[in-house]
Amino acid sequence: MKIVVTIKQTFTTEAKIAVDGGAISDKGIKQIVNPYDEFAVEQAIKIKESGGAEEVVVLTIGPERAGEALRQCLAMGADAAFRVWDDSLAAPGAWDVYATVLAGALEKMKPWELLLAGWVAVDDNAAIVVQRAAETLGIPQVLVVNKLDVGDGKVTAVREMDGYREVVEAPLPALVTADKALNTPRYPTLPNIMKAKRKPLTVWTLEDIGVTAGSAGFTRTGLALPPAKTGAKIVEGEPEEAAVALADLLHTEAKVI
Amino acid sequence: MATVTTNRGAGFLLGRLDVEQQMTPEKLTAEQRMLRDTVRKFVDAEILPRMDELETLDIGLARELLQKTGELGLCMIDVPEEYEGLGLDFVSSIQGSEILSLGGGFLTAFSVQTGIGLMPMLYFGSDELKRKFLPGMASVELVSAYALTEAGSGSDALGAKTTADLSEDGESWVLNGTKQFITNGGFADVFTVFAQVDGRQFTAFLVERDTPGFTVGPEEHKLGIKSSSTTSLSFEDCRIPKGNIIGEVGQGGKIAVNVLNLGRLKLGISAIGSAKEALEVSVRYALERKQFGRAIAEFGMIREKIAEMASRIYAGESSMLRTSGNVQEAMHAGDEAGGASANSAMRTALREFNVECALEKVHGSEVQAYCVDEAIQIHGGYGFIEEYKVARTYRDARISRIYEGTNEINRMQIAGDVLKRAGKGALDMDAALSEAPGSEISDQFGALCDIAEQVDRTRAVARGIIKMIVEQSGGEGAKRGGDQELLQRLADIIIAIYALESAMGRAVQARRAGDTNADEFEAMTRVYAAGVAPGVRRNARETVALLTADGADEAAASEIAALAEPPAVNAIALRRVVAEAIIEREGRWFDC
Repeated sequence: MKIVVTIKQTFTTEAKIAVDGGAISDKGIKQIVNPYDEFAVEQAIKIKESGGAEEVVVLTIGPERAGEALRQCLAMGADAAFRVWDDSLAAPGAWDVYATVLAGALEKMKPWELLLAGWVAVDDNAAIVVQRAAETLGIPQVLVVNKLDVGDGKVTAVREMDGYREVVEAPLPALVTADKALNTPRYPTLPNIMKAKRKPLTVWTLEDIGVTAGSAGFTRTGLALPPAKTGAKIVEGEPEEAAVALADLLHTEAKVI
Repeated sequence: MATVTTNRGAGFLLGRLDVEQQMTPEKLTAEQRMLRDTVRKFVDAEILPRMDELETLDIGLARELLQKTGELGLCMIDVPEEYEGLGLDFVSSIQGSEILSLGGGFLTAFSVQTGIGLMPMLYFGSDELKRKFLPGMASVELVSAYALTEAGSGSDALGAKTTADLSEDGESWVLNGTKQFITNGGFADVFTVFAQVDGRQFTAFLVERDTPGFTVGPEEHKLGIKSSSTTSLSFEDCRIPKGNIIGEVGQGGKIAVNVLNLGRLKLGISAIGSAKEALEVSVRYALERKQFGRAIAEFGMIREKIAEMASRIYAGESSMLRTSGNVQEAMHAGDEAGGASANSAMRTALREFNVECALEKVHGSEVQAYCVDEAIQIHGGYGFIEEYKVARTYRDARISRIYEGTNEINRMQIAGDVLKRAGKGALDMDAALSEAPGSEISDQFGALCDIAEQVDRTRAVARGIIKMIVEQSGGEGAKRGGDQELLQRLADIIIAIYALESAMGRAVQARRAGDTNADEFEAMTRVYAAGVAPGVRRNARETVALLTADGADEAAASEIAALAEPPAVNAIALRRVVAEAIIEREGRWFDC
């Protein structure tokens, strides 16, 4: 069995974000593998280690620097990596275009049985690209999974819902997206970092995967930081008095009731 | 003033830096950056959550975590592949040393394992010894320790009293004596022990823990780095195999000094790592803490501290990478030589940069001392409470100025060695003062030509003083070795030259490469330059005052004093710019 994991390079969640000229400034920003994608990579490697798969391949869409994110996945234990890029893809937020490209690359990488990814990328919180690609490919998808078993041509996945737990089965090939309870991603050891240097990393153009990206179905018209938090007010005192004071403030000051 | 090549120790006193060949953090490879990430994740996941247990000196846990660094491959970087190591470059090997500094005393255990515990065997051990012990030391199945210090001999290391005598049958060495303050003593498996053969030939030996006659004393209670094990060792007719000698009889002093060189460089790097943490924690606190209705990060005095911390860290980091790059290049040349000559070339490389290694130790540990001290000050009363992390960082930092050679001993080495080289003609000081500093500075230094001129002038000050001392002592630079106050001042001037030039060279390269941090690098270089200038002036004036009182040429003395005059700069405005940049990113400015 072959597992494909799609990943995205994002900025660290700790990064101090600044907007510069309509884009997020990369000044002083460290780029990492999207943390949810790390869970997917870890799961793929675990499946391979337990004999459930022969090969783990990682795929990303991104400029040259995204190659470093792929190298990290190779150092964690993936066998090969693919990066698709075309300068026309640099437009922000073109999720539908990315989904088309991803589907094209996944088509070219066939045969594979399992497609894994993080359930969302921490930068744009869209949770849409790989899901749309799976739809294009016509495969079932099980999203935001906390536990995963693979065998007998199917996946059995556990999804934590609000107050209950759902167990889902789907035939392979299928897409499964990872939530954070799925596992604890390993950090690459130094010998594996050095080995990753010699693993294959292929770069594809749109021509290589036979895809015409087309134009996005929508355009981003603005990008702004959330307004600075204004000072919160803590209402003190005994619960009964505080409740009265709070209601009063909501009425007279915040004017919401 | 000609540009110098890098593969000469103390070459920075001869001429200007060739900017492009200077190693910088920005030039780390993708693998080196990934290695940093791995170590950082290890620290966050495995060490910091267990800091309280480690601080109570849970030896089992310390050993377990040290072995995990082995599993990650951090201790096999310097070990050649034929001994089951990775045989990677030196710049890779310093990455762990920097980032593990966040683990406080745990770093000390790691530093011994990968540094002074490993290097005597690595560079001086026989092939047989290396085959037997190196693979285990690289994987950390064997924890190592380094036993040099004794109750009566700390800085005076060669004055050790422990003895080693060949047994009557000639098959064993018999050791007698006591060692003190031995890091990893509580759980190490193999010890590099220094002892006197025939009472006067200082020699290194390898002793295994379970050897009869060898006992480990109780743990010391220390001011800081409480999570590291420190014990005494005693040897009573302790018999070890004849083949357990490291190097040759009488080579102990050379081994001790050479491995300490790299140990000192790595210590300097770790100290900068710890200073970065102090800065980050302080800025975050200053942004949260409100007084008089405003975050204290808005106040000028706090901002000035932040700017000064950042600029010193920047200069320290720049100089550490420069030295590491140079050491790596020299080692690589050793590798090329191959075979037995590779080891000897490696040893030559270690010795060649003893001035740089000593100055990194002094500078790194003093930047750290400044930063952890100001970190407490920024935290105010809360900094004095153990609940806040800075209290431990402060305690842990204090040892840096003491171990691996006190900063006093290291200053003696910096100035003493330069004088010795100059006395022998190995550093040609004749051209000193004959060329006007700042002449022919072109656009090679970009926006920092004025800083290049300040470096030139400071270099001319050092060269002038060196020349004076050498002349006064009849060509024998070492003769004034007794004047410790003089050596200290010369050492401080030399440190200022090297660190400032390194800061400048890194900023110039960043600008050329279009690095988004180039503005801040230039600003921090200027802040650092403004900070060191008054010290250079004082040190120069006090030095030439003593030398002229002893008969040195007064005209030359006043020329030196004039060169040491600080340039007029608006230091407050410069620091405001730096503070703004550091606070803007909430203190997470330096990668660590």
